[in-house]
Amino acid sequence: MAFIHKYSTISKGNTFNQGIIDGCINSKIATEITHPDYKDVIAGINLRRMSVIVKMGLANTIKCSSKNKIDAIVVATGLASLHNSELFLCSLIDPEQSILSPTPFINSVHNTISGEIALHTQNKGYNITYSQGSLSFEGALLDSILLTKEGKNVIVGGVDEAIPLLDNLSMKIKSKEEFTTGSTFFNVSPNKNGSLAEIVNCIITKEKKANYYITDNFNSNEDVLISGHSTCNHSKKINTLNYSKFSGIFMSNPAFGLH
Amino acid sequence: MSISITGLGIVSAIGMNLDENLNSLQNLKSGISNIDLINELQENFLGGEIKLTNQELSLIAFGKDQQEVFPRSLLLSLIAAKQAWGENNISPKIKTVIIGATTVGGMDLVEKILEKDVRIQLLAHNPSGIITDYLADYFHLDEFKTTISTACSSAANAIILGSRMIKNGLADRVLVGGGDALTKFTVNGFNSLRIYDTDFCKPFDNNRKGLNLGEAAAYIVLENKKSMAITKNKKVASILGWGNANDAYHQTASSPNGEGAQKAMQLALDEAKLSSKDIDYINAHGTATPNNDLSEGRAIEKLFGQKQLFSSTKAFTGHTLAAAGIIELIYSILSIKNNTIFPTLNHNALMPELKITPVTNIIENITVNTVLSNSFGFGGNNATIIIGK
Repeated sequence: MAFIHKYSTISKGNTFNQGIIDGCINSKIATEITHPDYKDVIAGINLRRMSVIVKMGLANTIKCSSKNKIDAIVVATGLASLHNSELFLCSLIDPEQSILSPTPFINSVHNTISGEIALHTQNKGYNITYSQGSLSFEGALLDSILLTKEGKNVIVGGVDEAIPLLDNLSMKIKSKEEFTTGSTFFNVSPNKNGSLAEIVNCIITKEKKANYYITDNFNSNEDVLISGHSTCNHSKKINTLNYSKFSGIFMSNPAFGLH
Repeated sequence: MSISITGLGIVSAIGMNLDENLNSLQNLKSGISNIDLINELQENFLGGEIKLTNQELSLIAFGKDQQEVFPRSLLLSLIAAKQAWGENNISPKIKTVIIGATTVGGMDLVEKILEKDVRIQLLAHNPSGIITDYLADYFHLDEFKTTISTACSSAANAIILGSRMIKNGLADRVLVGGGDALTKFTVNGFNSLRIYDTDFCKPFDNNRKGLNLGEAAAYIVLENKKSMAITKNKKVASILGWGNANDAYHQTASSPNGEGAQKAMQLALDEAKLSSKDIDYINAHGTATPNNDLSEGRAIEKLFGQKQLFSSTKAFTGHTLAAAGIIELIYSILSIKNNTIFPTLNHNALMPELKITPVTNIIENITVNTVLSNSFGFGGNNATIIIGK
C-alpha cells in the first residue's frame, strides 16, 4: 500500500545532487557533511535565522515534493537541533546574559522542523514529529504506512545533527563511533504507478525476534539485508550491507538505510 | 471499530492520582504556586509544581529508595503509567504497543551536566525517547514503541496514533500518555518568548498576559473488543474522533482567525461522524496567552456558535506542555463520569473580540455525553480528540 516515489539525502557524500550511489557509495566519502547551496533550493526567504537541521529537512522536502498535493508531513529526529539546545542551555547559565534570546529556544524544540517545513511549503495538513532515540524513523515510517492506508500523499524523513560536544563525549566514553549530521526524506503514497519501491512492513521488536524474522523471510540468493550494525549474528548466510559506514552515526540514520 | 479507554493514571500539581485530581477540580483548588524546587531561576515564577522532590517521587514510583538517578519527567511518567496499567498482563494473544509524549525528556539532568560538566553519562538522558524506552522495559512491552514530540500537542497526537493503530488493526491494546517536568529550560524559554505571566494565568480573560507552566504526567490504556474480551477490563469512555492539522502561519503563534484549530476540530467531528451540536462541552487548550485564546476562541465560535459550553482547566494545573493533551482528556472523562463541567479559574473580564463566554462557575448535575478536547501548539501543530461514554 505504501509506495516510495521520490527520495533525497544530505550526507557526507554529494548525495543531494548525485544520489546515494554516485554521491556516496561509488565515490570517496568526505569527512564533513556536503550541504547543498540552500539558496538555490529554498527560494524567497531569509535563511540566516534558520537552523541547519531545518534547512536540511526543508531542502529534502522540496526535492521530494511531487506536483501532487502533499497531505502529511512526518519528521523523525532523535535529538532535534542540538546546536540550539546547547546554545540556549549555555545562555541560561551565563551570568552576563540578563535578557535571553528566544531564537535558540524556538529552534531547539523538536517539532520546529516539521512546523517550519509546513510553514514554508504552506502545508496545512497532518503534521507530526517522532523522537524515539535510534528508533525515531521507524515510528515515522509506521505512521506513513497508516497515512497511505488513509489515502494520503506523505513526506516522511529523518534528520539529526552532530555537535562537537558529542565527539568529546564519545571520546570520554571511549566509543569508536563518530557522530555525524545527516538527513534523508521520502515521498510515499498509496499510488503504485511510477513508484520506485514498496514499503511492505515496519516492525520494532527485540533483537532475538528480529533475527528470527530475518532468518524466516530471507532468500539468500536474491535478498540483501541492509543494516545499521556492522556485526549481526545470523544462522544462515545473509548478504549484509552496513549503511552506517556511508551515512555516519546519527539517531535517524535508518532513513538513509531505507534510501 | 470501537476504541475503549480502560485505564487511567494521572499525577499533576492538583493530585497524585485520579481521585485527588477530581477532588481538587470539584473544590476549585488550583495547584499553581511559586516554583521552588528548581534552583537558580533568576526570577520568581508561578507554576503548577508538584511539591515532591525527585527522591520522594522515586520512592512513590518504585516503593523503595533507588541508587540510580532518574529524570523527573520519567519518575512522573512511571507513577502515572503504573496507575493506568494496573493489573494488565502481557499476553501473546494481545498485540500491545506503547506510545509516549514529551518535550523536555530528561532535560533537568542535562541542565545539571552543564552546571558541573562531570556527569557525562547523564547526557544519555537528553533524547526524548528515554521515558518510553524505560516504560517499555518496565512493563515488558516488546513490540512497537515510539514517542511523539509536537510540543504542547504531543500527548494528543500520541493518543491519535494509538487510536489509528487500533482502527487499522496494528494494535489491540495501547499504553499511551506523556509527561513533562518543570525545567529551567522551558520556564526560561517561554519567558524569553514574553508569554509567561508573572501573575496567575487568566484563560480567555481580556486581561490575560500569558501562561504559567506546570508539570504532570498521565497515561491511559486503549483497547479494542478483542483485547477486552481477554483482559476483562471495563470501559471507562470511548475515543470517537480525532483531527490533526497545521496552521502554517508562524513559528510559535497560531493564526488570528484560528484556521488550523477549526480544521483540526472539523476533522475530529468528521471522524466521529458527529455534528457540532452533538458536542456537550469543549475542554479548550486555553493557555491564557493573548494569541492562543483569541485564535481558539474565534475557531470555537465559528464552528460551534455562541452558546457552546467550554472552559480551560489550565489555571488548575498550569500548562503541562506535552502532557496537556492527556491530562485534559482525563479531565474530560471526569466531566462525563461526574456530570460536571469544571470552570475556567481567575476569569474576570470578557474578551471583546468574542461573543462566546467560557464557563467560569462549576456546573454540576449536567448531562455530559460527548466532549471535545483541544491541544494546540508551537510549530502550528493543532490536535483535537472527541470522547464519549
